[in-house]
Amino acid sequence: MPYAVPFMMLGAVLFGIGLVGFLTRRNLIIMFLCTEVMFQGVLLNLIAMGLRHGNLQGQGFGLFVLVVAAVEAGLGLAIVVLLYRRRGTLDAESWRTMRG
Amino acid sequence: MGFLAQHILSVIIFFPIAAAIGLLLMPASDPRAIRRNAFLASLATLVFAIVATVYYVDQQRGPQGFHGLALAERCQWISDPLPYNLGGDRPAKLQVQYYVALDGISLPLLLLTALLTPLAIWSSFESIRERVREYYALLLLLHGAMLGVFCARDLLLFYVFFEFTLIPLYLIIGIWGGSQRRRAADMFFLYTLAGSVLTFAAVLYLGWQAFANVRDPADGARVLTFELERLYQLAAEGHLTPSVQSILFLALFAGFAIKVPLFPFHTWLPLAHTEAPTAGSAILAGVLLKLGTYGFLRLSLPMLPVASVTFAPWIAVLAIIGILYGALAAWVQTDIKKLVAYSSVSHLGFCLLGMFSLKMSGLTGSLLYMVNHGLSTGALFLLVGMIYDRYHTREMAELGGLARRMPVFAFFLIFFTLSSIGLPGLNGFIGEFLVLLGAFTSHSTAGGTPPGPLGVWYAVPAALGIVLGAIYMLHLCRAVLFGPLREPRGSQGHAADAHGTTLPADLTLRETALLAPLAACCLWLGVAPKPLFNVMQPPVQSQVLARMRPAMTATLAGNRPASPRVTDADPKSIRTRAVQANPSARTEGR
Amino acid sequence: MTGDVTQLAVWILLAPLMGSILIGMIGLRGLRDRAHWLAILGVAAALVAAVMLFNDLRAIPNAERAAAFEKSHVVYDWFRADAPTGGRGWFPVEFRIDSLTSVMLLTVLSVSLLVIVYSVGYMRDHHGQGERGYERFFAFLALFVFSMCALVLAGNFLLLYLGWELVGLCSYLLIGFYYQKPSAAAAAKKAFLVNRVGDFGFGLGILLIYWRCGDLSYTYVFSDAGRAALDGYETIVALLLFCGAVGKSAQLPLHVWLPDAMEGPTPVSALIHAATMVTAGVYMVARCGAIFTASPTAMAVVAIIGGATALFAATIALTQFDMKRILAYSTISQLGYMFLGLGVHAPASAIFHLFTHAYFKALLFLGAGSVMHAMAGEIDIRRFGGLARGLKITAATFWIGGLALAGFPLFSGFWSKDEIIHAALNHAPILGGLALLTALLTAFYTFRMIFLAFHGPQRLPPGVEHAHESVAWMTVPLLLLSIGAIGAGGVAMASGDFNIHAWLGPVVAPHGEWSGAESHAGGEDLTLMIVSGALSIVGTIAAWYVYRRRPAIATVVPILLPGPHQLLYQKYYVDELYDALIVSPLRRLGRFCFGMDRYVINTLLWLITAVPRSIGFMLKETMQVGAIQGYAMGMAVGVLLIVWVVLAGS
Repeated sequence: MPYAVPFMMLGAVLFGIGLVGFLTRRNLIIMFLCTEVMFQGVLLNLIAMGLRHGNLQGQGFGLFVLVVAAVEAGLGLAIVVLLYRRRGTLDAESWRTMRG
Repeated sequence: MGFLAQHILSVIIFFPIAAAIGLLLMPASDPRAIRRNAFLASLATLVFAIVATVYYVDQQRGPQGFHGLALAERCQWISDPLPYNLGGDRPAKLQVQYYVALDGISLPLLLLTALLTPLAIWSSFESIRERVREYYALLLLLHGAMLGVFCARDLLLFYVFFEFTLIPLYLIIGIWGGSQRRRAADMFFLYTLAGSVLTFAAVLYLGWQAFANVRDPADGARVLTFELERLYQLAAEGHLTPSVQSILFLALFAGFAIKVPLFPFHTWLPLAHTEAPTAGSAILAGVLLKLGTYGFLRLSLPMLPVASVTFAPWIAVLAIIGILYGALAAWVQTDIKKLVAYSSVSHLGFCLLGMFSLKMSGLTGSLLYMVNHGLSTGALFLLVGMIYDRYHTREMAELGGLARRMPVFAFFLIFFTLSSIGLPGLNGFIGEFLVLLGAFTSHSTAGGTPPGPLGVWYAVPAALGIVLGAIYMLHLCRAVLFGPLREPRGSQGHAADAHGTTLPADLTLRETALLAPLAACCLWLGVAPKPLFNVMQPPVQSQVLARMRPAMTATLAGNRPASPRVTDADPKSIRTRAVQANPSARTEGR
Repeated sequence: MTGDVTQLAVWILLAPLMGSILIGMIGLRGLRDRAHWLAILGVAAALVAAVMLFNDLRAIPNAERAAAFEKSHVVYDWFRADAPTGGRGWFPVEFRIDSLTSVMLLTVLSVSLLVIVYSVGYMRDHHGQGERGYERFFAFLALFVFSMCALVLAGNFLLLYLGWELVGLCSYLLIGFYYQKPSAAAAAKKAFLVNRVGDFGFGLGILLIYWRCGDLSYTYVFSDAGRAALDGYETIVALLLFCGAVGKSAQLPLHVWLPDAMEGPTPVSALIHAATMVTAGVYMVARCGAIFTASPTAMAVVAIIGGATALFAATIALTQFDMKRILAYSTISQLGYMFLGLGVHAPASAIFHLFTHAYFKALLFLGAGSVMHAMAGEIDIRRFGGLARGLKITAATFWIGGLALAGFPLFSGFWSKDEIIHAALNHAPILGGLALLTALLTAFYTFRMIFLAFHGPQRLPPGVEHAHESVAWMTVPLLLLSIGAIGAGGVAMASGDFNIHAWLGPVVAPHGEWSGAESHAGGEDLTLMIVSGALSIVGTIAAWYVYRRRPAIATVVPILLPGPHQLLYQKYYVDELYDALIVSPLRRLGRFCFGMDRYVINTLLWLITAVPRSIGFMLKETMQVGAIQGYAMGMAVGVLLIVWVVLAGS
């Protein structure tokens, strides 16, 4: 079933874009969006795997993850808003409390 | 048999744990109810333990004359076919069991734990005023874990309980302790954890060895099991070479020796004892230290007999150093609690000395010593706590002549002092005597027993420890009880503590009732310990000595003279000292 | 019959024990002023039982005695050392009931009863109210009687050790009775610890016996089989056991605790530290005759230590001023005589001396107590004098005790001491000579004390107007004891079972190990009797001359001979020596150990933990920068690494 491969490739590309974006951008919202892109890449891979194995488990799981991702996105954005209220900036560099 | 009879051990172990959870669900606003419920829960556990004892004795009296385990309960805990094809050509499975049972070695310690914890809980009624709910919940958790250690018959289960005791006590010391509680708690935790991590490595290796050698009789599968009975067979069947045994022994030793604590791994103990709240000290001394000695007795000796025989003289030397060192260090303390803490170092040395004599007398004495030490030192810590509740000091220099103000207290302090220094007629004597007897006659082959690794010259310096023991304990009595009355300024014997409650000068009824059962046990064990001996000795023979026998015969009888002379394997220092002290012993040997 | 005897023995033990426990309970209820009745009842019941026991033993025909005496009377099983399959079984609580036991029991219980009665008067203040701790005192005394009886009745070494330690405990508790006095508390501790040092050897001896014999019962150890098992080890076993005796009976070099023990109430000194407990060592050596006699070395050591202690303590007694301490040194000295007797194969004579000494020494101590009572607690013979006028009964009975102690002819001490000296002269003439010299000194220091305290012009310490005779509770026991002090020697001349040599013979010499002085019982050696009687008279007269006729001599001698006088007065500096040689170094060692803990071991720990700590520090400084993206980068690299490893591996 070779036609699954392009989807997987696309998923990998999405993941890679998201990863690079997350690592290079400093804006919290952009970083957050990048994680979502990575997420979609993984999701696409799940579905492609389902396709490859010829069953619906991947798609079922994908749907499930979509719902969770929607919820998580709402929570994540809320957190970003709260962070912005704290510092008045969206620069990730301003949060360094984990420094040892 | 009813539910209780079939599941009595699980009830004993999990009732306190369930009670702890229940306690956490109670409202924190009613400390009295919390205290009462915690105490009742621990008392109920004691009742269950007594019921278990009755069942046990009943089974022991059974027609077939029983030497093994009683009240066993087992079910699969983590049991899976292993995912990888580890079994080579066979199927393989993981089989960690929940397997608890009782024998005559665990029973006395189980009872000791079940008795001490209610008393410890009761003793905290006055002194613990903050976070009452969490405190009692932790004590009950600790209770369940300690009981579990003594019942476990699966090595992994044993280890889980063994480690689980750390956490509640860490929190108890760290939250309700004295001024240096953080440091003490950290040291206690890290020290013991560092040792038991190595122990865990040994546990895993033993399981792996079992995996390599044990087949499931049903389907011939390889089984990754930690069941003690199977692990005992490994050495017996020769799957563990002496060098492997030595490494495993040292790994187990790391955990247990720190727990005991054996010199020179003891420095966490005085600090932890001093900083822990009274109940914590009492349980720490009374039960937790016994986990180490119990581990040696239950795991090291029967599982690694060859290594145990090889290392016995070295451990005995460390134990003797600990006996003398702890006693001398105790003598120069000015803090009462620290004195009692150092006395534990000395006492536990006796315990290990008796154990590694590998003689019936020594092993029985050692086991009895564990119980005795739990009773008398537990009581001594409670007594110290009672002083502290009144005067808020533990400095000997600030106290004196309290016998006048507190006659009942004086009675109990002298009583437990005498028990601790081995006055015949009280419990301490029998343990001490048997330990020394074991060490002294270790080499003899009377009664067809194989010769043990120790000998006369181990008993002699240890016996000196008895003299020193009397010195520091009487020093304590004299400083605190006798002489002109001396109390910290401003207290006048009716010290109002920070919470405005006042304690009477002498012990309250509650405090007396705390000490009375311990005193009664001390007296009972000193005067008529026959039932206990009937319980302890058959399993000591069948569970430990019988498994040691081949190793002892092979290691010792073969290459050493069976005469009671100084052994060639004695560490040099001991031997030269001994020979100088009494040259005749060498020449008069027959 | 056996059942009977065992039961009687159990009652002898239980009666005082119950008395003690009941007093303890009643003490809580506030009936403290009547507490003495329980003690008196308990001990009197035990005494009656002991007399019955004696009669029962006498009823055994002569031919069967040896066998009957060697029997062990088992009460119950105590504990055991060996595997149940090993076969040796339990250490029982068992009694040995024979003539030696009965003599000891009668001595102990009769003196105890009198001392307890005396204490009823003594332990009260001027208003007739019981002193603080009145009921405690009687509870301890009754407990002591129990312990001493247990020691004497013991049928194996474990039980002997039990009694041995329990009497030590009672001694500790009673010496420290006035615990608020620092000196009393210190003396109590010292007594216990010095005894422990002796018990160290004693305990090792017991372990050694078990090791060789596999049993601790007298019945086995003293039997032929037991003696065979000990073959080659008798000397070391006997010497180790003797260590215990040296501690308990305050012989050289462990005598230091006894003089200090005088800090306890006087009845305690009379009962425990003169009449009974301190003689336990003598009893034990006599009991273990089978072991001791097998080793000539051990016997020689016993004799030499005994003889040396007798002389040593007597010389110290010459210079002391505290009445009780003089008596304490005299006790040490008399105990030395007893060991000398044992060492020269005259055990019956030693026990005989033990018997007479119990009465006259208890009498002297109680007399001293009576003086102390009248002098408001003052006991220094420099501070009072001429008391004979006020304290007629006390003075008269004290004289009787003094004469018995000095070995004045026809008094009890004369007969017993004479037998020992006779045996010593036969066996070891040098020791015999020392014993004679000691007899002279004994007479001198005894009457020095008597003349200073009771005669001459009346002098009273400040605060005491009149010297009052004590109450009847105290004087009646004094009178009864003086009968003993005069007449106790009669048991050497009586006939039949009442003759102490005939009675003890089957026990202390069943195998004929003790030989020598036994035949002397009738006192046929007239020369020696004349010599020793003369010596005691000379000593008495000398004391009279020095302290009554020419008191200047007594003042001048210390000035002329300051060195020797100081040496004696300071008790040969033994305490100081021990302190410097043993106590201080040990204490320093203790500090060293504690310092080790704090500095060395904890430093090592610090060094070991320094490795993870420094690695952690480095990681914290380099990796833990706080930027989210830094962590994410690390994670991404880690994931890529893992992927690479997995892919490369497959």
